[in-house]
Amino acid sequence: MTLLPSIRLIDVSKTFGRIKAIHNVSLQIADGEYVCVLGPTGSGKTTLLRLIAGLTYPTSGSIELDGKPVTFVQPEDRNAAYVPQQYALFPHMTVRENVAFGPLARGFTPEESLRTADEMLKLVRLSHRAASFPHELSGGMQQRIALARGLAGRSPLLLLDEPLGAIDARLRVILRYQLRRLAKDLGVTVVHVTHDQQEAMSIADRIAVLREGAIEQFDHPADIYGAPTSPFLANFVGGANFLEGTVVRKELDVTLIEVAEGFSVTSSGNAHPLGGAVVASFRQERTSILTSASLEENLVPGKLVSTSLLGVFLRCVVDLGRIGEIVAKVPLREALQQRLPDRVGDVIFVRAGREAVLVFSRPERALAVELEAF
Amino acid sequence: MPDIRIVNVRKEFRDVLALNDVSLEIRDREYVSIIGPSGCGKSTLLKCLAGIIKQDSGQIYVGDREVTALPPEERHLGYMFQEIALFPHMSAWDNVGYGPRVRGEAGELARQFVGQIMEMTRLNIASDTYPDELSGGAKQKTALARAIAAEPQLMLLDEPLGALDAHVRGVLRYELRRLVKELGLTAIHVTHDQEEAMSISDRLVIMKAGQVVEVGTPLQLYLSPKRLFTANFLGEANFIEGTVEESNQGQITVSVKGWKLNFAGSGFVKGERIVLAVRPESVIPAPDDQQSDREWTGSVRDHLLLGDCMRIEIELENGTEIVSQIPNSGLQPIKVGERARIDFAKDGIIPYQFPAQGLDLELALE
Repeated sequence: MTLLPSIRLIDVSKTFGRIKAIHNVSLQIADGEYVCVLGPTGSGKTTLLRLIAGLTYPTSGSIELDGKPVTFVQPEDRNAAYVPQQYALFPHMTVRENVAFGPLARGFTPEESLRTADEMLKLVRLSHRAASFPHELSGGMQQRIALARGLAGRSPLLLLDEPLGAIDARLRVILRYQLRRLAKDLGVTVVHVTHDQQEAMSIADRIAVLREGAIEQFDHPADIYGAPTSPFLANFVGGANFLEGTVVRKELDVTLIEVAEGFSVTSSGNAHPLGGAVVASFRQERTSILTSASLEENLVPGKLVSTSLLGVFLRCVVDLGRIGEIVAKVPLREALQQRLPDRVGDVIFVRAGREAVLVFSRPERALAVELEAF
Repeated sequence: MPDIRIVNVRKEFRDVLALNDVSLEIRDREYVSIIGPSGCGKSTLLKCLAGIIKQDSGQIYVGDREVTALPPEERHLGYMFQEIALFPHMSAWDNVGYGPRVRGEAGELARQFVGQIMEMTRLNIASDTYPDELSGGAKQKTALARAIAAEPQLMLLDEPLGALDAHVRGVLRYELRRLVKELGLTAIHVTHDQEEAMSISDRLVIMKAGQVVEVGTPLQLYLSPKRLFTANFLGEANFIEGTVEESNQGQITVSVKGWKLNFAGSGFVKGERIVLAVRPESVIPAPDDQQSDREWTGSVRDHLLLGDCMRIEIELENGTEIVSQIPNSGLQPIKVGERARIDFAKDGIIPYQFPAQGLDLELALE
C-alpha cells in the first residue's frame, strides 16, 4: 500500500445561494481505505460525495486525487466510479448488459466486459437474474445492479451514495459485510455515504461524521464510539444515556457530578472545572442491571419499565425517579438468566462503572436539540 | 376492540400469488408486526385488512362482525404508511385537528382533545410549524397524531418509519409502541426491518412467498425458531451442515466436515443430514495459544468493532467460515491472521432436518 493519499480535500466549502452545504472541510483518505461519510439528513453528505466525483465544484478550497489537483476536472477524467442513490439503469438492456456497460465504457473488450459483469453479478448475488430487464426487478435488486455496474468499471476509487439504502434490512446486513470484503479484495478506495450508523460501524476503516456541513469527527469506528467528542456524536453513533449535571467535587482522577438533588455520578478523569455545567454520558450496553443491591458506586435503584428484544441484547428501560429514565442493553442470555422480561414493574438496580462515564461540557443549545431528539 | 380474524385470505395479481390462503388471529390490544422479505405479501395483507385491496377469497372478521365486503371508511381503522402525506398548507396542529373538524367537532372540547394528542406525541413545540419546516421524524409523528385523532381502535401501520433516517427510526419506534399501548389500541405493523419488529411487538408474523411461515413472540422466534427461514430472517445465524453420527439419551453428535459437535437435542436419526443454526453471539472465540490440534480452531479472517459488539469472522481449518458477534467487553480482540478456537454457547445450537428444497432456497430472502 502506498502512503500517497488517494483523496485530499483542503478547506473545501460549497454554498448553494445562501445555504452553506459544506463548510471548510479538510480530509485525507488513504489508498485502499474504506471510509463512510455518516450524518443525518441534510448534513451535506451527498454534496461532499458529488464534490469528490466532480459533479459539482467547490465554492472555495481544493481537491486532489492521487496527488493531482482535480478541483475543476470533469467527472469522467477523475478515474472514479460514482454510484448515485438515484441509480439510472438502461431500461432496454438486460441486467448483464447493464453491468457490462461499466467496463465497456472504460475501454474493455466486449468479452472481458461480459466476463467481469458475470463476476460482479455473482458478488451481488444476482447471477440468476442476468437475463432479466431492470423493470422486472425490485428496487433493492436494481440498486445492487447499479452497484455491480459501478464495481465492474474497475475504477480504483468508488464513490457510493447510500448503496444499500433501498435494500431490505436483513439483506442489507449480509451485503454490507460482502461489500467491505469485496472492496478489500479488489483493493479499491471507497467513500460510502450513509445515514445508518450501524452500517458505517460495520463496514468502515474510518468514519467521517458530518453535521450541518462540517466534519464533527473523523476517526476509526472504535475511537468514534469509545471517545466521541460531543454528546451529539455519542448519541448519533451508538446511542447513550445522558444526564445533565454540575461538577460538585474533583479529586486526583475522579469527578463527581450531581445529576439530581442528592444524587451524584462518579466519573474517571478530571478535565472539567468545579461548578462546571456538564453532561454525563454512558453507553447503554455498559449500563448493567442487578437484581439485588450492592455497595458499588453509581448504583441506583429504579423500576424496570419495559424490556424489548434487539437480538444480541435485551433493551431495558428503567425509571430512576427524579433522575429520569435510562436504557440498559443487557446481553440476552444474561438477561434471561436474570429473568428480566418477567420482572417488568419490579424494583431493580442499575449501575455504570466510573470508567464508562464520559463527561462533556454542557452544549450551548438545549441538550434535546444537541441530541437531535426532534 | 374485539379480536381480528383473517380466514383463508387469497389474492392473486395477474400471475403472482400474493396471498396464498392466509389465516391469522390478532388479539385485542395486541401489537403485532408482520415481517418478511419484499414481495412476501405483507403489505397486500395489510391492504386487504384496510379494505384498500379486495381479496379474491377468504373472510375478515373484527369480533363477530364480518368486514370482508365493507369499504375502508366503515372499518373504523387508522392507516399510516411510509409516504408522509400531510396537508402542506396547514400547521401541525391543524393537520392533527383535521379529523375532529371534519367530524364537526369544534370549541373548547375539540381543542383540548387535539392538545392532548399533541402532548402525547410530544409535538407541542411544533404546533404552529408547517410540514415543510418539520424534520422527517416530526412529520411522521404528525401523521401518526392525525391518524390517532380520528380515534381508530385498530391502527394499520405500513412501514411507518421507512422513510426516516436510521437513527430517528430507532428512537421513534419505541414512541410508536408507547402510544399504541397508552391508548389501548390494537396495532398491526408491517416492516422489512426485523430489529424494529422484534423490539416493539407482542407477537411477530413471519411471511414468505404469500404464506405465514411462523407466528410467535419475539423471544420464542429468536431463541427457538421452528423454521430455518425464521432463524435466518430474524437476526443473523451461521448455518452448519453435517451428518448425525449418534443420537441418544438427549444428546446428538454431528459430524461436520470430519469434525464432531455434541449438543443436547433429540428427534434425529443416525445418518441423517442436518443443518445447525448458530447465532453469532453463541459462537464464543478464544485465542488458541496452545496451538493445539483440537477441532474447531481456525484463523481470524476479519474483525470489526461494532460499538456495542465485537464481530469476528473465523475461517476454520475444515473450511467452514463462521461468524462470532459478542458484546464488546473492552478486552483486546484476537487479531486478524491469529489462531482462534471457538466454543458454542449452551443451548446455542438449533438443529434442523436438511430442507428438502435445499438450504439456499429455504433461506432465500427474495
